Amino acid sequence: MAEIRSGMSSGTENESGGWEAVIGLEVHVELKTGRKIFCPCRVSFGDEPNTDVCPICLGMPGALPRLSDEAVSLAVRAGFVLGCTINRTSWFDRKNYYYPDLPKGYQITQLERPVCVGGAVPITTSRGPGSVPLVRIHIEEDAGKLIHRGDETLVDYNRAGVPLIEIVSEPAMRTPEEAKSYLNSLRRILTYAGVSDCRMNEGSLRCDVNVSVRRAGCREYGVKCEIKNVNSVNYVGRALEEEIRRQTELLERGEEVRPETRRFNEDTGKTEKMRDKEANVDYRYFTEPNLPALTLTDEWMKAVKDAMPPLPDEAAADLVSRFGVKPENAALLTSSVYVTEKFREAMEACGSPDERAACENLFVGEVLEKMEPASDEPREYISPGALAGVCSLYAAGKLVSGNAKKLLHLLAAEGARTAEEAKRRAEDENLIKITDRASLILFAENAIRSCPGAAEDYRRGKTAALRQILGQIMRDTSGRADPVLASEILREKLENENKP
Amino acid sequence: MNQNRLTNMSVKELSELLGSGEISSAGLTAAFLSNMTLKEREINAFITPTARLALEGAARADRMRREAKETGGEVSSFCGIPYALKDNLAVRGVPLTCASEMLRDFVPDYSSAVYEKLDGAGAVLLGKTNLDEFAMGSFCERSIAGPTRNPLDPGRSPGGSSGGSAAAVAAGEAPFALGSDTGGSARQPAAFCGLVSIKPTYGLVSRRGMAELASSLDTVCPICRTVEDCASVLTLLAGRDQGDMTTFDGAASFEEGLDGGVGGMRIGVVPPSLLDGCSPGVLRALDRAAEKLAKLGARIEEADLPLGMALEIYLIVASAEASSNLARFDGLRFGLGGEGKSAADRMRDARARGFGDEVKRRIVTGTYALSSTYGGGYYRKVKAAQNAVCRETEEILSRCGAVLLPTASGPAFRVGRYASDPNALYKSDRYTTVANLTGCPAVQIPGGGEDGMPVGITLMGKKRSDALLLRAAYALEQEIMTDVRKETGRDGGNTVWDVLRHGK
Repeated sequence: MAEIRSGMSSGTENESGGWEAVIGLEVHVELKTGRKIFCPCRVSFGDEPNTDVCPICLGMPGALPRLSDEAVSLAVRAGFVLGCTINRTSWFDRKNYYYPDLPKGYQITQLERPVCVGGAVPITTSRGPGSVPLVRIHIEEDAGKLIHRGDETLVDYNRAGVPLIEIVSEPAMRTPEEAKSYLNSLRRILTYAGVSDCRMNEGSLRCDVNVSVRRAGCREYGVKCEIKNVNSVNYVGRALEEEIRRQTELLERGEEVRPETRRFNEDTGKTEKMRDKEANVDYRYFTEPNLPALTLTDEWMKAVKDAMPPLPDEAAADLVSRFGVKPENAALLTSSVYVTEKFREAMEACGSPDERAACENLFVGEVLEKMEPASDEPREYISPGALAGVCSLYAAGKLVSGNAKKLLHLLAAEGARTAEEAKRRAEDENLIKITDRASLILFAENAIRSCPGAAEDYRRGKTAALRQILGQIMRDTSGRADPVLASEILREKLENENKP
Repeated sequence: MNQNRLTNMSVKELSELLGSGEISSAGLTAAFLSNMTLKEREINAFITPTARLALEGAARADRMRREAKETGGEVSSFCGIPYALKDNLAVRGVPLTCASEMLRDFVPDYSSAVYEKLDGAGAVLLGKTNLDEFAMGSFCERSIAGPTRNPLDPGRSPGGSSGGSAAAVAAGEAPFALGSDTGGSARQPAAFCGLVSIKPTYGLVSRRGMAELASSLDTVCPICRTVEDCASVLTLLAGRDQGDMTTFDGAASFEEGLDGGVGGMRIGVVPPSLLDGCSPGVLRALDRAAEKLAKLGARIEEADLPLGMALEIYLIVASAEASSNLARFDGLRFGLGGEGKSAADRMRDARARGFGDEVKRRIVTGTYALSSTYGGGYYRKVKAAQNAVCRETEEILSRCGAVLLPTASGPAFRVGRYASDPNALYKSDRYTTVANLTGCPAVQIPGGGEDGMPVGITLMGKKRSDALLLRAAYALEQEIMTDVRKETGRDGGNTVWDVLRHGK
C-alpha cells in the first residue's frame, strides 16, 4: 500500500479512541471536449432530453464507436498534471451489464490497461502539506440518466457517451479533512489545466467515497462501504464524518460492518444503505473489438504537452515575476483558472506600478471573495476595465481608500465595463477626493467649531484628540477629504490659535 | 436484348452494355425486377424487395450516364448496375430486420458504409436479402421470412447465413450481392450456389452500418458470378472509413494485374487427414485445382492448417462477442418492445419473444464463456488459443503464398437435414472459420460438381494479400473453364459453374 508522504495525520485516535479510518476516492470527471467520446454529438448540460443523440450513442445495430482524439488528449493532459505515468499503449474493454440507461448493454471503459497509472494529488491540511498517491486514471463513456417521475421512469440519453476519466486514489487518506483537500486540489488542478469544468452540481465531477475503519496501527483494512455519488465537497466531508462515526460505533459495540453501497442523505446528514455490495459482480469483461489499441506516438505526446496551460503553481510564480504580486496573494489568485484570468486582465488594464499595487490589494481584499472562487462556477463580479478605472483614480490620488472600495462595489453592482464609466460615476457620486487647500481650511475651521471639547483637549497637549476633529471633516465631506492634507491643516490651525 | 440473357450476365458485361448505351439501367432493372417476380415464390431470396427505390435509382443512374456523356465526365462502372444487400446491412429508410422478430419493424435512419459507396457510384438497390437470424446459421432458414431455396435445386439449401444473397445471384434476380462472413457465411452459400466470393482481410471493408454478430470476425463480402466481378466490387468497397476504426487502405484497384497468373507462387494443399469427411466431388475438385495450379506454374506443397482448433475457438469467440453485441436489443429504444412492470421484466419479455432459438443458444454459450463466475475464465484461454492459431497460420502463409482448401465438405445440404442438430451445423464451418479467426482473406470459387450441384474450393492467403489471392483465383477459374470447354467441346456459359455443369 502506498503511504502518505509527509505532514499528514496518522489517524483519529484522539477523536475516537484508537480507531482509524481508511479513505479512498473514485472521482469521475467529465472531459471538456464539448462532444461525446465515440460520436460527434454535442455535450451540453441542460439540453432538452434525448436531443443530443445519434445511432452511435443510442447503440443502434451496426453503429460503431469512433474514438475522439480530443478526449484522449485531455485524459493524457490530466495524467501529465497529476504526475502519472502515461501508458504509450493502452486499450479499451467492454463492461457488460443490462441497465435501461446503458444503450449498448455494455460500457466501453479501460480495465486491463488504463491510459495513466500512478501520479499523486497534493493536499494541504491543518497538519501541513502532503500528497495522496493515485492508482490510475482511465477513459470511459458515461451512461444516460434515469428520471423518476411518479411511478414512471424516463431515460435521457443525452449523457450517454459523454467522455469521462475515472481517477482512482490509493486508500491513503485518513480524515475527512484530507478527503476534502484532495477534492479541492484535484478540482483546482483539473480546471486549471482545462481538462474539465469540475462542476459537482452539474455532475461534471462526481465522487464515490470508499471508507473503512480499523484499529489504529492495524495493517489490515476493515470492511469498507462505498458512498455513491456525493455531490459537493462539503457533503463528502459530512458524509465521511457520519460514516466513520457509524462504522466506529458498530465496531465499538463489537458488531460487524457489512460491505454495502450507501448514499448520503443531504437532508438528514446521515448515510443510508442502498444495497449490499454484490460479491464480485461478473461484468464479463473483454477487449473492445471495434477499437484498435490506443498507441500514443512521440509527436502526439509532444503536441499534447505543448498545448497545455501552466499549472496553478506555475501561474502563481508567473504573477509574482510579471506583476510583482506578493507570493501569499499569488496563491489566492490561482485558486481557479477563471480567477487568475480575471486578475490578469485587470492588471494588464492598469498602467503604472501604483495602479497595479492598488489593483492587487483591491482584488484580493474586495473582489476575490465575491467571485466565489471555490464554487462550481466562479463569477466575474467586476469587469477588469472598471476595476482598472478605480485603481487609476486611486493611484492618481483622486480617491481615498474607503471611497475606492465604495466605487468598486457600486460599479460591480451596475455592471460597469470601462475606466471612463468609473471616472464618470466617481464624479456623479461625489466621491473624488478634496485636495484643494482653501476648501479644506474652511472644512477644518468648521470642524474645530463643531468639536470645541476635542479642540480644547488637543490644545492641552492631547494630540490624539485630532482624530475626532478629522472624523468630523470626513463626515462633512462624505469621506472625500484628503486625510493627510486635512490633518496638516488642522494641526496648523490648532497650534496657531495657541500662539498669542 | 433477351431478358433471360441479361439476368445471367456478369457485372462486367452489363457495365459494358450500359456504357455503350445498348441498354439502359431502367430496362436492366426492370428485367431483374420481373425475374424476381417470377422466381421469388419458389426461391424466397428477398426479405424486403425495394422495387420502387430501384426504379428511381435506375432513372437517376441513366441521368448520370447521360449527363456524363454530354459533359465528357466519367461515371463509375457500377452506375446503373442493380444489386442486392444482405438484410443485416443498413439502408436509411429501408427496414433492417436481420431476419429477426426483434427487428421486424425497425427502419434505420442511417446507412451502412458499403451502401453509401454503392449508392455514390450509382448502383441500384433491388432489395434486402434473406439470412439466418442475425447471421447465425448455415442454411438461411432460421428467418422471419421463412427459408430460402437453392435456385440450382429447390430441394436444397442455398447455404447460409448469406443464403438470400447467393440465391438471388444464382437465380438471376441480381447480378451481384453483398453478404457478410463471420465464419464462412458468404463463402459457403457462394459455394453451394456455384458463385464466387471473397472474404476480404479484416479491416479492408468498413463494417459501419452492418448489424454486428462478432465484431472482431465480421466482414462484408461480395458474392458474384466471376472472380473479375468480385475484384471490381472489392475495389469499390475497400478502404479506410473514419467510421470504422479497424479499417485500413488497401490496393487502389483489385482488377489491375488480375491476369498476372500464379507462375512461381507457392501454394499449400491441406493433408488428407484434414479432408476426412469430404465428399468425392470435393476431393476431385481439390485435386483438379492443385493440378491446374501446378500446370500454371505454381509450386504445390503441403500445408497443415490448424483447422480443428480453429472451429472450436471460433464457436466460443463468436458466441462471446455475439452475446455482448446483442445486449443492445432490450426493446427500450427500438425493435420489439417488451411488456412488464419493471425495466428488467420488459427487457426479458422483449428478448424472450424477439430472439429465435439459435440466437438464444449462442447468447447463453457466449455469456457462459465470458463469465468469470461460471465460465472460469474460459474466454481468456480461448483467446490465447486463438493467438496460437494465428501464429501457426501466419507461419504457414509466410511460406506459401496461398493455401488451397475445401469451402465446405460437400455440395449444398438437402433442406431440413440439420434442422435439429446444431453440432452438425457448426461442423459445416470447419474449413471457413480459420480465415475469420486470423483475419486473413479467402476466395471461394466453384471447383467442380457433384450430383449436379457445385462444390466450392477456397484459396486463403495471408493478411492484405487480397489482390494476390484474386489473381490466383482468376487464373484457376480461367484455366478450369478453358479445360472443361476443351473436354466438352461446348462453350457452356459465362461463369465457371455454367461451364462446369455441362462438363463430365
